[in-house]
Amino acid sequence: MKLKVIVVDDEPMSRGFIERYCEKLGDLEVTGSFEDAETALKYLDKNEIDIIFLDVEMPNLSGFQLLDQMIYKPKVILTTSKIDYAFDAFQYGVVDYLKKPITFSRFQEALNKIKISITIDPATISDKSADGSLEDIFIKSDGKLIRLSFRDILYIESLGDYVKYFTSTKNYIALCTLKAVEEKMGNNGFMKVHRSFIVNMNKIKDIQDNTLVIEGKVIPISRSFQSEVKSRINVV
Amino acid sequence: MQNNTFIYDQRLDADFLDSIYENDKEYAAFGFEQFLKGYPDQINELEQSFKTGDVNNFRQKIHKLKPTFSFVGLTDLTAKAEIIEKNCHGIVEIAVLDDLYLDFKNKLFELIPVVKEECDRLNA
Repeated sequence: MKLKVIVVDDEPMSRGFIERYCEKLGDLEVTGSFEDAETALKYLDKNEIDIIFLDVEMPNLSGFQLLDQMIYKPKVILTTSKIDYAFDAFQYGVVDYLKKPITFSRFQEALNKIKISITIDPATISDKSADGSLEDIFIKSDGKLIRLSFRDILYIESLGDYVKYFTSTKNYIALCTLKAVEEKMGNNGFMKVHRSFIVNMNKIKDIQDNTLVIEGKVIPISRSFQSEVKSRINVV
Repeated sequence: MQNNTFIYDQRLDADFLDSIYENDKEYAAFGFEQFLKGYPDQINELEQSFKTGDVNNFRQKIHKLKPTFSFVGLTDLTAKAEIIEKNCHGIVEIAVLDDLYLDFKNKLFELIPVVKEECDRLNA
């Protein structure tokens, strides 16, 4: 399946080059190309895409302002002529930051980062138990695929574009979003309790109103998740 | 063995051109054509903004133009444009940029015929 891409840049040549690079790679489909952020925003309200190549400095609405107004966040690659925006880019959690003019090899490098996070992590291979539920996953960490048994995972913490898996013996960092982890593990005894934490429900030691404890680690529970947490534990 | 590598004019940055076009002549011709089609209007807008003395508008225009020169191997012009853009910050009178802007324009108009020749050779 091709990844859906849009390009937002007020400079036509830059747009043309990105479109051409996408075409050359073959597994990307440019579904929209926009010279201003307002038109792109209208498109994004009605269409879901995977990747956005986004210029920062544009008339009226800047690239960052567009990100502020988006309801969902696809993977973002900033394309800009300035390096001054690197810190802002980091804060917005963009996958990569390409300085124009963009070479094809640098473009490929950025795309590879996205493909790793979309297609490999968190679980490319998994074992299932007799009832069909997953028992373990392979995560990509330190350049290799590592098998983690669900029984061993205590909780997972979001680190922006990365997540950290905590076990009793070792912790692992993988390039992956917490949302992707939730989609893979949510029905296997794990639950998202906070925007930055997914926990193994079987490992919870105690719960107070807005916190829980797993192996001595105090984890916050967002107000919106409190009633669901209580509904998923056996209270006598 | 026949060598099909396209040799760019030495006044252009061949290394950079190879890094974006990877010796794909058709693709390079597309880039050169796009530049030649778009630059007159953009330079005209830039010139108008300079004449009106609106520093912020001028900065935005040169910022937008900046990367396009590299697509035809004029990486030195991209660098000159970047210097002008940086010099726009904190100034009120656009005349401060007179020398830099004149140097930029002279270099551009000197090299445009080279770009046109390369475009023709790429399409040949």
